[in-house]
Amino acid sequence: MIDARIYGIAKRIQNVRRVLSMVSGKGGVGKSTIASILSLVLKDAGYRVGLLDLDFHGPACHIILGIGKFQYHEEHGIRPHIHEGIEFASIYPFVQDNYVPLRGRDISNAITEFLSIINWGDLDFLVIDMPPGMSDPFLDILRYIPNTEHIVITTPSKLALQTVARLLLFLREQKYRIMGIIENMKTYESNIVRKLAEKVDTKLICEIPYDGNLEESIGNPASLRKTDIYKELKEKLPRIIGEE
Amino acid sequence: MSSLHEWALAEAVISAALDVARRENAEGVLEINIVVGELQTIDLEIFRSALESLKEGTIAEAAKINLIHEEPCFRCNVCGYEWCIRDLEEEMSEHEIESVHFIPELVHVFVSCPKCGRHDFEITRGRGVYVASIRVKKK
Repeated sequence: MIDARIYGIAKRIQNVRRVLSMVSGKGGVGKSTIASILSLVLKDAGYRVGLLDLDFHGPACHIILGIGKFQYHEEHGIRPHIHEGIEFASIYPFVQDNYVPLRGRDISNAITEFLSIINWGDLDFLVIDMPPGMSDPFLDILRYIPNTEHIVITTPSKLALQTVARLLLFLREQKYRIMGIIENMKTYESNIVRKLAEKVDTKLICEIPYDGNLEESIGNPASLRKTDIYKELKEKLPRIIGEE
Repeated sequence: MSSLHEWALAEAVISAALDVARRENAEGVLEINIVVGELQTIDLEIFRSALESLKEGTIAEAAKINLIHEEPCFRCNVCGYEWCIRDLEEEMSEHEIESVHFIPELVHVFVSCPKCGRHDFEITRGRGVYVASIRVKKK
């Protein structure tokens, strides 16, 4: 038995110059928010950008960017939906508000199928919003797109750091590319994340303070562009994409 | 439902066949046996036409294409009940069938075990398209 889909994946992303994945061992650290706002920052800087929400259980990027209901247009597979000039793909149009009770191997199969049918255009960057953890979606991206550049997101909470440290250790030991760490939702002065970055020999890209008003901007790209997160990501963009 | 997804699947199948032939150092592909699980509601006419078109000009040009149909069947992980679906339209709406067409695993979202009602089940056969075997002519 030959799984032909794997042959399709390379072809689907052949015109994508760089793939940036927002990863963290832990949930709730702001991966979807940073992935969505970083996509806006990249687009506003003149890059051709795609955003792939790979969180099948809890897709959120469409909520953050205010993307209403849409259907994919078919063109030798499916073409991503264009929103704010960003090519966007998510499982949301298929499942809408239903629950998605999938086991790991089904998630893996679904991701393989999804990656093999999304017909990305010519992109400078494809930003991937990864679900938390190091299970199937994470391993599938490493398998299918091994040159992915990983941006590790964490909060300064001790609850997140131990798990994030394991993820960093794994990426480092397995020789995957780490672009650096983004410290998100910082509420007090601490160098705990900086020390972690030094320990795994990577850079602390930026420290984003907790923004209590962010919720009001969710769903409104114009408003998202006025947030501290947008400003911080815009200022540190050269560091994020390794061109500093 | 549009038929263009069938082209993407056909492209993947032909790429797989050519890769196997290359790795086997073959001079031609004689036969490609493709299982088509009915859960994915592939338009067979379009799929076959895409395969025939895509193999033109390659070492698979003369390959005989065999499509083997499989009815979708399931086994519940909770109660062990096994069942098959003959008519998808009786089980799912048009939107649901289209979603499953693109990603067959989404059947777990829209279908539950007829006996216990749980969504935790295996697709035992008839999921989608895969290449069962390829026969090549060695150099």
